[in-house]
Amino acid sequence: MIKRGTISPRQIFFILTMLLTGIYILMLPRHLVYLTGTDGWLVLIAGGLVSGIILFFINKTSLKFPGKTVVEFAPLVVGKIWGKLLGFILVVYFTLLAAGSLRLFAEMLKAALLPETPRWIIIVTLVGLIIWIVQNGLEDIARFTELIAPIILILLIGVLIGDIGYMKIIRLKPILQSEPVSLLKGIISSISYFGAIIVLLMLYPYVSAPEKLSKTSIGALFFAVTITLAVFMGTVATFGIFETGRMAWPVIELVKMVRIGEFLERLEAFFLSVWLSIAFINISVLAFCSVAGWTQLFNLKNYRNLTYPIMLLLLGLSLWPRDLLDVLGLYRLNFTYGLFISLAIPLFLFMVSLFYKGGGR
Amino acid sequence: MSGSKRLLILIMLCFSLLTAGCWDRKEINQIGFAVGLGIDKEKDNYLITTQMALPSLLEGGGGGEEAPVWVVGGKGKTIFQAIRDVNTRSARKPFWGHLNVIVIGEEVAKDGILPVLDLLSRGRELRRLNYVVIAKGKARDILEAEPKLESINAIFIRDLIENRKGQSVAPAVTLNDLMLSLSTAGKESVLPKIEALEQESFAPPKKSEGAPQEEGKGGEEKPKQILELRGAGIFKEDKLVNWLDEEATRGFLWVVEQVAGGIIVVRSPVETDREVSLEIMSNKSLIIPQVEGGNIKIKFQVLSTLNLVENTGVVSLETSKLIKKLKQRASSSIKKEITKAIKIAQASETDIFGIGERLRTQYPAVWKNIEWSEIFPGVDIEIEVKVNIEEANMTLKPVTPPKQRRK
Repeated sequence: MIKRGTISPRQIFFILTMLLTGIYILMLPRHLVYLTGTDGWLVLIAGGLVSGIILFFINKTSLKFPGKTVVEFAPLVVGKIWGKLLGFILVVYFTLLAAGSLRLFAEMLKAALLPETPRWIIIVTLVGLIIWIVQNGLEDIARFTELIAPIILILLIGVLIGDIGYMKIIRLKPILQSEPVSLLKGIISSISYFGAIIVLLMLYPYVSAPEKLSKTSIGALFFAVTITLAVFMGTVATFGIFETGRMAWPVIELVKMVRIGEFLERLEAFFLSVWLSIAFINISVLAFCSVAGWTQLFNLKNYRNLTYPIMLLLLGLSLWPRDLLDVLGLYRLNFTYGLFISLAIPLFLFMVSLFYKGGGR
Repeated sequence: MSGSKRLLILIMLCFSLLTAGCWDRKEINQIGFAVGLGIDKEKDNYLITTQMALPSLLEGGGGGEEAPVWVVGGKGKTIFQAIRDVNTRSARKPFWGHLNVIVIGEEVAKDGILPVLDLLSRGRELRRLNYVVIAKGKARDILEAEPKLESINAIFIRDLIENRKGQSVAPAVTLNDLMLSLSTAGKESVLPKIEALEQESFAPPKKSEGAPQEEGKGGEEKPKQILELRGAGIFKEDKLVNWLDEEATRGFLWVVEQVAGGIIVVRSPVETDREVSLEIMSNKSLIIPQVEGGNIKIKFQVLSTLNLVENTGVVSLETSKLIKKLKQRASSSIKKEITKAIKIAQASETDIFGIGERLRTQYPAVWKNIEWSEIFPGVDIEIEVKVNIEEANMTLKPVTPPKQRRK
């Protein structure tokens, strides 16, 4: 079994913030601009609020089953078959998210920094590293996150401040000019985006003070929404909606604009090498949830034996799409339908668990 | 920790080094640093001129007579083909990360710059902070010119742009600015104009060169020595349609809040044959669209702080009454510049000020129902100029001969 109750709430705070702002933020501005133009920031706030409600369901439900992950308590709530099915959906979702993050980051690294390196080299080396840290358990991932997250956040804020001279408020206007349908689509996207917070359902039993988690997780969500908002607005204020919509990686372009003094330019290589650790954290957490989830789904004793086959699956999945456009197409699917997992499952579990009278099995 | 585990970690660490990018390594002696890029057109083909820095001549001063840059060109149907064509002449692959300026030839600009810009804005190496200028004539002439002070011509042009504050008669436009003005509805592009000359544009034409010509090069054209960055070209969509002279350019810069410095010369209010120089210290501006009924009216508000720096007359102007008069003269001088810019812009039917963008963001409902490009040429523009004159100088009175002293 994996040791439980060893992660501090503060580590969870950083894990969640990294998970929510980690990889998808690099492409989110384009996606939102494509849907809603200058209204993107409103959509982000709305999505953040709904995610707050989801978080409420997650926290309430998880606290009813101390020491159990969602894969373990779902069968208790909704019966064995349905519970296993729910767990299965979630675990598949985590696995896909991990594979997606892996591929997305590899694509970005390839596009911006390593044009001639085959992408499987990038992916395989990362997977190798992830296998190692997943084998070591969540505690190591958490410690690493706690160490590196503040650096990354400072860097991101630094990029925004560095580009402030190029930003113009007028590029964020006018507001509320989009069609209601595209506004709705945008909100769905941003819920799906923040929906990665559902990972918390898997992390609960590993935390040392679960009762503190409600506060911590809301804090992390708020923080992540703020950062995402700042990045979105910064990108659009710098490039305008049309140019942002043209860019494959708007945030990288933002980094390329930063110039410190007269001579320090082209910081994207440095930025990306730090961003590598975000990708590493994100994928490790998702991979851990996936491995732990599969283990619990099959009631296995030791998750270590499962690591290799699952990471192999992850590797296969992430190499599967042909090119960047394919990957982005798949992501559009997640941004549209991810909602059914990240909103519906916590809601459903919460509703049913209201009738659950604890204790029994 | 057991020995095998340590070994595993060591192997992993070695693997992580791979992600740092040895695969894409490029040795510094394999790449040529392109510092300037010029784009011209010849019938259906684009002609590229790159200016490559020769690092060996830059350091140590061992170069002597030879210029530390090498101007080399390529030709192709597309920009990229032309750029790759350079490789057939250059032993080193050009690296574009250290580019300073992009010079666009007049002919390319007249035919449209979008086909040129696509590659430049996609590039991984190119930054969006490169300055873009438009050459009066051929871009190649600009890059082949040999101005003094700076041994690399492209850096000279960059510094010229960055030091434009002295007069504010040319805008500074980066690739990002240009891409934005091309893609923003209700705003057209303006690019600074650069011209290569044998001598300063005001100097009388010389018959023979003062310095003895290099022997053996008698018939060849000598590289030009003067580069002038004055005025601007204005675009309708991506095509160059007209030029602004220095006065109109500053008029335009007043409106878009980019006058960072410069001199306004006005007649002295007491001595009618004497001039006063006022230095521009700051510039704040607003474009205010007003919609009443179906009528669209525009108001330009310009606020500027000036400093009295030179009085060619002998009468001290530092009294509040005379300062007030000076202010009036200065503001009408600014107004004249702006009016000139408006006139040219409206005659060329291109909204370089970005009035349309203001209108679109402030009155989106109105914007949806109008065709701005049809309204702009005839729209009513009111100009309101406010001037402050600071009297924070080291000297309070002009030089005065004893006989003319009043007090």
